[in-house]
Amino acid sequence: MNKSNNVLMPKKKNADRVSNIFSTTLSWLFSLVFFALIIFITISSIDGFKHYGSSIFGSTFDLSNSKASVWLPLAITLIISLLAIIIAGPIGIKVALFIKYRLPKKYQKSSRVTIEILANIPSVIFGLFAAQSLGSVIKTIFGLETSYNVITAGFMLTFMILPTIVSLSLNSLDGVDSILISSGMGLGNTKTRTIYKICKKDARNGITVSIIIAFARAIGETMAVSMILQSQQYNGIFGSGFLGTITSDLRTLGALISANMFAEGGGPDLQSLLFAFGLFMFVFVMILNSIVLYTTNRKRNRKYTKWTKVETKIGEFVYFVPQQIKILWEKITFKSKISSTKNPSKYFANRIRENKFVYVYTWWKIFWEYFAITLTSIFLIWIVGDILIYGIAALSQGSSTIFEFSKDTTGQAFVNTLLIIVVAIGIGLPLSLFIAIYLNEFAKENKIKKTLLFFIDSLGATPSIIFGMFGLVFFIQTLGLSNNGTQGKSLIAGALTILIVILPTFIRTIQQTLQAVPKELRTNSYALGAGKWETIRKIVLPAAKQGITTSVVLSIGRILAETAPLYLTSGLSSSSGSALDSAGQTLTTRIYAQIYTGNTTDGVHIMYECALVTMILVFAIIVIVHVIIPYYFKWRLKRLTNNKKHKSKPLNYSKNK
Amino acid sequence: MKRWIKPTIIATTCLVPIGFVIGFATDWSQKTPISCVGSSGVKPFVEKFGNEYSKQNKKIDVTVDAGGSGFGINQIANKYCNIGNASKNPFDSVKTDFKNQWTNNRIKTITIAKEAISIVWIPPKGLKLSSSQLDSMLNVNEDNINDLFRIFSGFNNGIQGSGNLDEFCNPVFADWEPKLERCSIKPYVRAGGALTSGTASSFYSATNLFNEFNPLLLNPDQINALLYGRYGNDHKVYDTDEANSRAWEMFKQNNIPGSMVYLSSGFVIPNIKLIRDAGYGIMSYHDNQTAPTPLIDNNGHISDGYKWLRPLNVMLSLDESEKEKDFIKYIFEHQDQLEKIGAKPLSDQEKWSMVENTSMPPTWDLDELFNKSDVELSHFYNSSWNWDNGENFGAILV
Repeated sequence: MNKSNNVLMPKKKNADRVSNIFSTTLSWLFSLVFFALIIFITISSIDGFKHYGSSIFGSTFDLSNSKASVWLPLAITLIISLLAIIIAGPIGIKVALFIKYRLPKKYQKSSRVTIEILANIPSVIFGLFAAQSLGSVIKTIFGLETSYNVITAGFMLTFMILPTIVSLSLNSLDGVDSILISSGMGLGNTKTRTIYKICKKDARNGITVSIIIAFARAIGETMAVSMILQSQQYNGIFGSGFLGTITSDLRTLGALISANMFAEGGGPDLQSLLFAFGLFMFVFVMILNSIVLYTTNRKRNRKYTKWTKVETKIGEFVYFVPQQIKILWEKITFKSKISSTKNPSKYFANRIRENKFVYVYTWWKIFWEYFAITLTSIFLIWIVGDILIYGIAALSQGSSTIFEFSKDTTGQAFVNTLLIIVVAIGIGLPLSLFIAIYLNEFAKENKIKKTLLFFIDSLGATPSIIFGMFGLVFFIQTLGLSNNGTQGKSLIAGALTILIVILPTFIRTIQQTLQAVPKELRTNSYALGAGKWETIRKIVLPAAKQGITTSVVLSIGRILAETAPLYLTSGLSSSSGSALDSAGQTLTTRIYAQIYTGNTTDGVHIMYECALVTMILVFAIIVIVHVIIPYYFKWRLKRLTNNKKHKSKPLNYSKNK
Repeated sequence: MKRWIKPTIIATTCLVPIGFVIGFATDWSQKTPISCVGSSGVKPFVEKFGNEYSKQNKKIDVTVDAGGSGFGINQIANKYCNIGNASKNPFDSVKTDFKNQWTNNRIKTITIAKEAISIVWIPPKGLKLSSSQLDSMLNVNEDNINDLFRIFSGFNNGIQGSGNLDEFCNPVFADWEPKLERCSIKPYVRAGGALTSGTASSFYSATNLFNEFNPLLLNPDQINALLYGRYGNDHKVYDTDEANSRAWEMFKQNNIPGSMVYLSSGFVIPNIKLIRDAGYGIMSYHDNQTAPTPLIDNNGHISDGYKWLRPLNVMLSLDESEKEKDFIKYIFEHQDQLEKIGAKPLSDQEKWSMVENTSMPPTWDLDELFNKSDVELSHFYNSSWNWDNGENFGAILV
């Protein structure tokens, strides 16, 4: 036995060492890509800083006069994002609370799936929907002069970020100990008060994070917003006051970058300035990520008790007036003979029985929950219905090419999309898996790991047009990765660029899946003599299989949703045939390409046709993630259980006998 | 599960994507690509010819990407594409940024066709007229062109007329003037002006068109507004994206009576039914030499008398292989198709202006177009030519 151990141990150690070195190398290679991107953006922005100088930090935006204040487009970005978050935040939290605590368990899953449909709709489809349908409704409701304005963009972003808030808030509420509900109610609270005063407060950190992440997404959104907002008369419009600003169609920072990157009169200086703006967005998103890190850092609360006290004091100060109003309301509406301090339990019991005004709070909260869920449902039905109706109508038009695979057809765009998915996932899966393994299994809990995770999260929130520019310069203009060398575009360049786009989320989701595998499994495995790599391979990965599959499918959804990195690298035009080394449209770039079409009627039909095909794909992905995969794993578990029962039959048999 | 099922499923799951990727790894028919990049205005034309040329020449594959004239000039200067597209004379951009590349790479600008700039307008409510009546109702001429530009600049300073639709009314429709008088003009302009938009640049080029009749009296604010997009607030302007379809989409969605938008004929003619169905009119052009000329003639083509035109340019390096030249020759050989898609073919004289500055010989070959690059041709005209002299790269339009 000892002998065999002696023979095996070095082998296991070697395997551990090799896997450690391999995954570490991949992780640092990934960091290198991150640094390359930062360096690329920074170097590209130098000329912009030189040419536009201090005007970037000034208050005038006049490109022709070499004045380009970053604050004005940033202010619009913040106004729209704040508008979106102010509406989506409360609605999203209410929807999450409704799904978690009001809906019967059997309907909860289908509700989550429905929210995910909204989350996976490509942004270019949101743009199309806002341009064709939402804008007119907003114009009518608010009595505005125009359909394309900051308010429409704000509402569009509201519904784009809503699923993020709902999903992340739900995840956070899932982590709330269910005993808190019964304890809260046991102390005499109503269910509603328990939900809002105990459960919601307990999930506060996660909910805050969901708001910040949604806010970052709103800030980084480019394609959908650029389909609505078209003006860059910042000084003139800002001068007309707040009302004039929100009813204008001023571009956000992302839309400004997208619209001017290839402007007719734009030269290298203007392009460089846009990279500088991209750098600002990047830094801004990194600051938001730091806030997320700060918010979620539980250790900090323990370590800096003084700071926590300050926070509490601030909270008390802010809520002082509302608190006093509440106390006054209580005094007016409920006068009890029992003292709340001497006999609290009787006081509470009496209060619930006697004070009918307690239910005003409940009714108020429930009203808003129903309002939020109704609004979300209406919107989901509206956007899906809009795409289905117009999409199906587009199929009967002469411009429909859904079943054709030649040049400039939807069929070819579908094949190209599949090709990009296969290549990006084929390379991305092993890469993300090893990096996630390094982060979760090999890396020590130190600053290096935290820094790496921070970079990954920051990269995940970077506007994707920046990746597109990087891909264009690196894969096409430097490596000449196309059948026409540096003079062409190619699907492979698009696939590699999109790979960099999806990697951060891919790594993070797999890493979280691995993290969810109970530590005891690893300990037991080591105790039985298995090496680290052997444990990962035979215990951790099989246990995380479902989560990994889910993250693959989610990454496919992200690829389907992207437009900006692809149109710069794979092109807007299609080739005669689908090939990795040729240029080609994907489904979303085909939608975007119709902006430049000569015939608008055909263009709109093609847009809806592609939107329909994309939506069907998104729907298929969601069905795979939420129905087929869980069903398969459940079925396997059932089979395994049956097999075990079958194996234990002789014992039962003998017993029966 | 039977022992063979699992390996089979795993093998299939791995092999199908690998086979799929290998199958689509390259274009097995070994087509030669021609990549064209640049102006979104030139794109539909080059794309149409490109698709047909690719069909007829199975070994060639033409791809066309939009990205603005500036991007097209940049890309061809650095040889990042085979053909660059621009809807304007590239000289100014080249002079500023690409003098060396233009000279060393022997780049040649070839005008493949002309396109018209038109103004689509929304009549006031209750103005029920036929499309031909609407088209002749408003016209732009040497008397009102200044005011048109002033209105589109957003600065009222110097406006002679009312700033309402009646200012552009053809006297034949005098009965309708009271209705037009009450409708102020809402101009739709391109964000960033001529600096960022080829269409805006062509719109502004009408200043030269009428210059010979009536020297323009625009003030610097108004010129800056049109050139650089520094629009004023005296007269509200609505700024839109560069692409015609985006400008149109916003114009149509807002649907405000009195709105005016400048669009190129390459967009207007293919979408004429949409414009007619919406009940919109297209301003006529009146150079006081003839009667007002509508944009579209009875055949659905650009009218002969309509002179508000811009060039559709393609740019290529003369050192490149023959494939690009063959494609450009193909476009010239099929000029009859241009009119259906909203462009106007060049006259022989205009074509010849890209070869030499002498009187045109009775016979000449299209191959001669590729003899001299832009810089070589300028030197050919004038041996002491330098960049400060200025030049028109591409055809001299008559």
